[in-house]
Amino acid sequence: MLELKKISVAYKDKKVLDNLSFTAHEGEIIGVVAPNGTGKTTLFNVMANFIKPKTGEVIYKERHTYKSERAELFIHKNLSTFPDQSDLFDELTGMDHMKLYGSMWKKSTKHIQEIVDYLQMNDYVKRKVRTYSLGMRQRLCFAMMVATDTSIMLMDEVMNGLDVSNVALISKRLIQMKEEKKLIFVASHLLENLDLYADRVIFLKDGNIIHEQRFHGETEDYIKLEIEHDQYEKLKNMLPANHMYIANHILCLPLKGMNISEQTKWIENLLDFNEKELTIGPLGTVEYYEKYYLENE
Amino acid sequence: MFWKYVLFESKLLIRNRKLWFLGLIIILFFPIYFLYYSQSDPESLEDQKKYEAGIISSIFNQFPEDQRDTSEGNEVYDLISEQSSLVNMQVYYLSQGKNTEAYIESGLRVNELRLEVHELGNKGIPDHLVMPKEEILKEDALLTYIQKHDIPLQPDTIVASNYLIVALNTFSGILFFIYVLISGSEILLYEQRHRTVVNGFPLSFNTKIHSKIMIHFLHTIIFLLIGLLVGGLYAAKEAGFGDFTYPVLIYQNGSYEAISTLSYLLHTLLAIAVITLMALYLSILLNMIFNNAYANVLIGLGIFLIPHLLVNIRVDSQLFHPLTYIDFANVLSGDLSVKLENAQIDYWHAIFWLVILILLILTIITVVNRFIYFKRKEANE
Repeated sequence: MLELKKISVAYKDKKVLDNLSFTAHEGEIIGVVAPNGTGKTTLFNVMANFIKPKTGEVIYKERHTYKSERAELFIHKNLSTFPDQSDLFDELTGMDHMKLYGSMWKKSTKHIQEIVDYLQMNDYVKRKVRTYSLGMRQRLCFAMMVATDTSIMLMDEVMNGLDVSNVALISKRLIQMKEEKKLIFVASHLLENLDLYADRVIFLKDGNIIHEQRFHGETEDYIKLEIEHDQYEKLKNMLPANHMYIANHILCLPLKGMNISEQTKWIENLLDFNEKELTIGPLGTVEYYEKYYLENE
Repeated sequence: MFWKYVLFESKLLIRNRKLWFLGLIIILFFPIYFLYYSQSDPESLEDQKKYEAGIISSIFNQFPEDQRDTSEGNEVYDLISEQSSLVNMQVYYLSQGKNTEAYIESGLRVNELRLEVHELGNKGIPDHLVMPKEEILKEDALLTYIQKHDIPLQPDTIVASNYLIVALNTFSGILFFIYVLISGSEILLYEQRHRTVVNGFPLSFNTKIHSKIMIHFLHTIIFLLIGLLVGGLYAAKEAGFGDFTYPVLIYQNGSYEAISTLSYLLHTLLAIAVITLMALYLSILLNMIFNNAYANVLIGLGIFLIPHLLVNIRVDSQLFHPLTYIDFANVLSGDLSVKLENAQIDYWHAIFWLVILILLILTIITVVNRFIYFKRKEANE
């Protein structure tokens, strides 16, 4: 549905995206993970053509590219971007904003009330935005995206400033939108939350995708345990060669290649070092994040 | 889509305090200016005629004796003598307050004689006492109109019908142009403060700017009409409605023509509408190029002043003449035609060139937009 082909973007001498290629399909939620300033927003801006890449192109439905303003208009009819809460119009109401987005993209405002009810915005949606708290503004930004009902949605920092119950509410809605065959990109710092609804999470580093984590199909399970560095040093020589010690505190032993008795033995051995929690399962977004971005800290 | 975006822009405009303030200025301008105008003491027709009689008397006093010995000089002297008699008769008719027909006949005859004197080269008449040909033609057109429509000679200058012409002429030109430039100073710029909300709208640039222009245009025209209505009603309450069929002179097709007050006001409103569109399209262009609200006003004003500066330093500025048509009260009166020594400059000529200017600005906007679109490399973060 959306293909990025050899995208490169540089600001002066700094390469932000470097020959990045990627394909996304309808009915997918794709998490985009990277520390601040490493190209997440740039990637979104390229996808929406707010930034023209130095090289490469964005292809929508295998044949539409941003080759002219007319072509951009066609793609934009099917793609919406998450507004920044500081850019909202203070003098307009939340309802005005939602109606604006509904009529611009879906050409209708009939569905707005359902969104308001779902996101529990009835109490304040008719008040001017200048009276909103950060959380209310963020919920409004998400509601505006839902109002567009476009087939592609780019959501940068969608969960910023939201409390736990609202994060859960929005996560549930994202899953519902995925079932409606929408392609949704979500950049978020709530890494564990991404695991709930994302089909894939891509990790950006040095301008390219350093890792793509898939949550469906074959996944490799690990014994995961938090241990101190000095304890790890004591154990190090006994551990299998393909183990990982992520960010100086998470020890991960792959179960692949071990038989049941070996797995049991390692679990028993490691329980002696267990201070917090020993878990078995695939590496999550948090572990990969720590692996790729905190390893050297 | 266009109308939905127009609706959104209208909501923003309704909540824009700057535009409300500007609208209030227009509304208040007309009644407040009436307070000033009604205090003025306009010269009566009788005073004007007495002044003319005085001028003719000065011509007699300063007429060189030796000129009377030549046949042409003698002819000029006789023509001036006849003018003197007729103008004094006009003063008499006015003092009597009746016999309009005789006043007009005398006036038309005086104008004929003055034109004859012009044909004879105004021999023996000091330059400062020569009545310009344009003035003679204006008065001739006015008297002919009054005779044809059988209307009173002297309108009350303070009444609403006359006041609205004076007020509109005062407000038009540079004052109105600055007003629209201020009103449109952020026509595109405000979007920068809401970039992520409006950036991805599935709207073409043209749809966007035309809806903005439409909203700002309606804002200006509606407030102007309200201002005129308020000012007109106030003037009418204080001094009466006056006569909207009374003639006003305009310069047309190389000569002067009298049209009714109502027709003059409609001509003026059409010109204001065209100038408003031009100033708004210019604001869009300046917003795109300079990204600065102050630059919009200062550079817009600078562009308007270019031809005036060039005229003052005696540089041939014919290319820039259309910019001076913004001051359309001078176009209507024919003063601009005289100043720029271009007999073609009349109302429809000015409207035609202002429309050409709008199309030219639109073309530049399209080119600049294409340039920005294709040069949008790494500029947005």
